[in-house]
Amino acid sequence: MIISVASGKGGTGKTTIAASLALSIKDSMYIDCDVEEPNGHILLKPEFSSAENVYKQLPEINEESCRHCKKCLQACEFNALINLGFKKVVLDELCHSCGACWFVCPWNAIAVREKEIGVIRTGIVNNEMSFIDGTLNIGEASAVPLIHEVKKKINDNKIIIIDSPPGTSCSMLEAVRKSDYCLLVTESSPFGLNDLKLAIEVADSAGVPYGVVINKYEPAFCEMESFLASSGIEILMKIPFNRQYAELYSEGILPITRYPELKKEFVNLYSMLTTKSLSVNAG
Amino acid sequence: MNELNKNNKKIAVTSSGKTTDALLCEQFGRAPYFIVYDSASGNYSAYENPGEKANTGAGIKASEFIINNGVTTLITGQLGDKAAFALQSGGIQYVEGYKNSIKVMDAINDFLNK
Amino acid sequence: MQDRVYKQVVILSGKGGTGKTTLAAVLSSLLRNKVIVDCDVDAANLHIALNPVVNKSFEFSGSKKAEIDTENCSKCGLCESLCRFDAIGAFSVNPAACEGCGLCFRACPSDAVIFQDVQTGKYYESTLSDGTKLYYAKLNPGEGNSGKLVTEIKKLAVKNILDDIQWMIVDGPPGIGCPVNASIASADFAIIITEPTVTGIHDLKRIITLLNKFRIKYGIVVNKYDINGKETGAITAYAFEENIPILGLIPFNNKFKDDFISGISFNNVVSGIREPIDGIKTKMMQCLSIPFN
Repeated sequence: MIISVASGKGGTGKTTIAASLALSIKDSMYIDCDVEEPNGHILLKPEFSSAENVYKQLPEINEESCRHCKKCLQACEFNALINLGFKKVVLDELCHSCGACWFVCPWNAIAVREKEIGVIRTGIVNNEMSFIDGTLNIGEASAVPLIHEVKKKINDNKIIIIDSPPGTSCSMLEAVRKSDYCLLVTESSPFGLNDLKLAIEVADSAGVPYGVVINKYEPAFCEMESFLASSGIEILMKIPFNRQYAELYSEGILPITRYPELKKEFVNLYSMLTTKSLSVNAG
Repeated sequence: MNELNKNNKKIAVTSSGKTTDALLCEQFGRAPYFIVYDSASGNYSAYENPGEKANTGAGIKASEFIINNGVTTLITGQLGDKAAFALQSGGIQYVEGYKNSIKVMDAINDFLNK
Repeated sequence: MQDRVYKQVVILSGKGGTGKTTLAAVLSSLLRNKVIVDCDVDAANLHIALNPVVNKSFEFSGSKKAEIDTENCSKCGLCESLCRFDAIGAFSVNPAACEGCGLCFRACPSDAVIFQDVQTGKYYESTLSDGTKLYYAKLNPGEGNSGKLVTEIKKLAVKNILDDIQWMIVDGPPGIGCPVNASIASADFAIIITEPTVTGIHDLKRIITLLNKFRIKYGIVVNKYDINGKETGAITAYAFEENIPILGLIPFNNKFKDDFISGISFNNVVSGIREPIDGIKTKMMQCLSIPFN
């Protein structure tokens, strides 16, 4: 089973919840797909066993074979190829590795070159839980290829928890795609509700079933619950706002490690997820 | 700077409008226009920046235009990394730090008088 | 060289959820003759706080997308085999996965791919109850965010700026990518808002590197400083070492939070946190060397 944890708004507690859930499940694997700013390792403190570089494929134009027909330049939708008179230069960070330039070149003048875009680390938490994270090099235009590679580390024998990047853009979509279920984390505030609606649209477009976890829950903010009720969206868990939790988080400590009753709630959350009839690799 | 060199410069300035009276635009990649000024003749031309409407890589599209139009020097506000790399690859001199409170002609004069 | 008539201040945070939008909203309410631009187009929230009336809306296209014309499609499957983004299946393009590279369009032997600019978002010009203009955008969920939309709304704001405007307040996007670059272009000053957590200094440094590169002056605000005195101390010590002004420390405020979520209008809610933010405004104006009015 693959469970993704996402949030339209940043700062709702997505990573805390993803990490807490992963720690509350036997045989789980936590995968941090927030490659632009991975924070899972701060809370989970894994012992790292390996780091591998991740590469993307880039075009390499052979000046000798190139006939300057400019078809490659016209084919690049991302302006990653620049024409400097008689030389063509590739702007590495802009290249999406789509293959259009290779395809259109009539002279076979384009070879493949690899460039490092980031790093994937593997580790273990508390000697039992698997941990994977990806870190994207600064300047890279797209996080999507790295997220795609990080997800390839999914071990089918484990329960996978994917910590998605915040927001609702293409990186979040890539993280959530093809997961069996998505937990949308929100907070009791008008901003939280607004961004939750955006996140719901992405989950819908990805065809992934979802439910909501309301973190920093305040019963006074009834708009959240009425929206979810009228939309038929299930609330799986409510974590009341607790200043102690905020203080622990600021120290890089997961609240479940100090509050066993909170950990129990995550164990219950997992039971709820398993009772839903989820097929592996749905979507 | 060598006076002789200054008389042979084709200077491009990122601009918000089509004349040298327009205010300078601090962005390069998405500037609406380039004013290209010929320091020998004192004449200028205005061009729409092909990078302005680009979905991504605006700075690259803009750099390509600058490189392929005989510009020797670019005057602007700030360049992003990729644009700087592209301009360097094309051998273009560039000067950053100008603000969008001054007119294009004033920026050109300021540069020529340095 | 004279300075521009209005000052452009951009509010940034390395990470989301630090209170950036709230600071932008409250700071704006303390200034006169301002224009507000919400550049967090991925998850725009300022309009939720400020409740504007929309005057005009504009369509935005940030990408091309491919679509298969079923009439001409010969079902050869070449497009699906070539697509590197898993966007084609059953002779149909999934628009959410389509990256707009155009390879299928160029490769199709039957000319059956339609490849064109599509609307990927919208942006708005709106007005607040006191006449202030607010510009904001909504990027369609799942779309890429390059900086193009941020540039367009800033351009719209500048185009319509009246002579008596003294401030442009920009609510910046989180992170350090192209949308952030676009939001800080032409800024006179940046306010970095951070929270006292173990990652706080790390996030700060990333934004500071970017601002130094763009030669923009900046100051730091620590929000909810009383959640962790030790980390707040570390941030202020770092700022002192690097000669970065601390514009203010905002305490965690339950009442503000409770009032905000119980639907009290934002203008009435802010009285709870006006004081520390007033202090931030004063410090900011000192940094900009503006006499107080």
